[in-house]
Amino acid sequence: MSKNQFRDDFPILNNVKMNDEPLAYLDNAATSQKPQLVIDRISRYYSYENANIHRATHALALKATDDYEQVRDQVRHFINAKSRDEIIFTRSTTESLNWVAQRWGEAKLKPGDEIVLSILEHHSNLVPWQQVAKKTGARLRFLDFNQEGVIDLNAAKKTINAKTKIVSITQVSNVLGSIQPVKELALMAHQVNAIMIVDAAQSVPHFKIDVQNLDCDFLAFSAHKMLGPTGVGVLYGKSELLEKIDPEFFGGEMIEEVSKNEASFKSGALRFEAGTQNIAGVIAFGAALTYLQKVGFDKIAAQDRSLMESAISALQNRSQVKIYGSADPANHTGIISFNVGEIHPHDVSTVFDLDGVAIRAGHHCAEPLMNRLGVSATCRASFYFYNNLDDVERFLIALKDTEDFFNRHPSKESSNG
Amino acid sequence: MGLEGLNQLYRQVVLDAAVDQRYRGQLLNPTAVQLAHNPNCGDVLELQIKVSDRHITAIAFQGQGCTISQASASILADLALHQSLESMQTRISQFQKMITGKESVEIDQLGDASVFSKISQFPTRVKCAGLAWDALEQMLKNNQFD
Ligand SMILES: Cc1ncc(COP(=O)(O)O)c(C=O)c1O
Repeated sequence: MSKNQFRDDFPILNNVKMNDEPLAYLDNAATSQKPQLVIDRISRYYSYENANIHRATHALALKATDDYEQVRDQVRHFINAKSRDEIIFTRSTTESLNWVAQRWGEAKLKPGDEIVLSILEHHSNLVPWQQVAKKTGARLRFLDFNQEGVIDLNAAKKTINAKTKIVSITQVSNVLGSIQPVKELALMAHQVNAIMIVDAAQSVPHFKIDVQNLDCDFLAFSAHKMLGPTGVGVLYGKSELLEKIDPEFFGGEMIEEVSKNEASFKSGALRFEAGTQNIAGVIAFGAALTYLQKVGFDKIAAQDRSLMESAISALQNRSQVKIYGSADPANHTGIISFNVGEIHPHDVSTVFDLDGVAIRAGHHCAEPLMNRLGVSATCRASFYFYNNLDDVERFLIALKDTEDFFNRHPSKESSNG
Repeated sequence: MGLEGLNQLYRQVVLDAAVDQRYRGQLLNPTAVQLAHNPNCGDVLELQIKVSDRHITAIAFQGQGCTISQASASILADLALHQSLESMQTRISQFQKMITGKESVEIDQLGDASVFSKISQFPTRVKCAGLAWDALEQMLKNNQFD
């Protein structure tokens, strides 16, 4: 039995059964679980601290404003942004990416300009750009990846050219777990005066991000994948660029002065946050960040590594199992996509479900990647630092149950008619 | 739950139907064709029928899918062959009520399809079981067949 010191902080991991079995939660790439202190923080805010923020004229509102704004500072330090004005709170990665696509992409692109994405992208970093391309006449181009699931930089050198205006890439694939060379791509983008956008939804929860070091122009992530509540996202944007963008929503909170015919807007990120925000969510996200920092990225990386090494080496001995992406456990970021022989992923995940092991089956919002891999779907198990070797064991037992059941009852996926 | 649940979900009838080849493929000159898509897992199924005198005289499906969706399509095809469009309409609505488990329905006309009567206990698989039936329902809605 491996003791994991963090498990006790997560009520769901200790108290919940799924299909009468103790829960082994391996769907962390979809959303992480929440520690008690994050849950309590939401409750505390609504129980004792609830007030609207900004323009405070009483002590309660002042405290709520301070707490909310303090999380902006926390996020700033968490990703090493230059200024707090570069941190915009949104609802999610999806909203952050759509925001950049519309506010920057639609405003700046012209027919013939090129947007460079990769074939690995989550639909959230693909569909918004398809829309922008349709509206502006810009063209989408796609970077391919190698055996390791990593974007090929030599090919990228040819694809990123004088016509390129935007490069938008996921830092970690939500299907393969592979880590992408976004810093190198940012350099290439800047050499042709394009901007670099990073979808960090899967990377920020797992390793230290330094936006100044990456030198990206925008970076997006979601609180809910890193112990925080749902409905809170972050968009980092370099000040020089944000200054060139007009606000898109107008109303309370974001204005400086309003007369009957004119309004002036607040500066920095605040002018993009119109109306009453998800105050409880942002404040609880602050608690999640504090907790994550206490855990530390060294520990998170070590646990990712140990879980991936043990799971992948066990899977490599199972002749029916095919793992997608790298053979190197260090290039998986807690994520393993696989298939079991001809058994359909949805049938596999049902066996896991009945065994109390939560994994995901499907296209994982990355259909172009599925096509590239030549499959319609995969199973995906995704781990976080509170998972332990017992979870890996449960995973392997469910896998054996899957193989046993379907080998005894061969109803192979008789696909393609 | 484990094995007991599996045995309940994957009855022998289901496993056999999933590999049944009789209705797989395409028809020559089908009267109607319908695609059905399960957005949860990306499965796509194409159903084709030939209709004469408001009766289904041939039926086939193709596509990729899980055991449940493939078995359900086979069972539907077997049930629908030679039936009138009207009687299939009734059966589709019986089947849809049965799989969601929201109300108790007569399932006497569903034949082998009644094997899915407990699928509502596996809510993540209800959509799979209904895929082919939804496709046939769409076809009956979208076409006149006169
Ligand atoms: C790489 C990647 N990008 C974007 C998203 C979208 O995140 P959200 O649903 O929080 O907007 C996800 C979440 O699944 C993801 O994995």
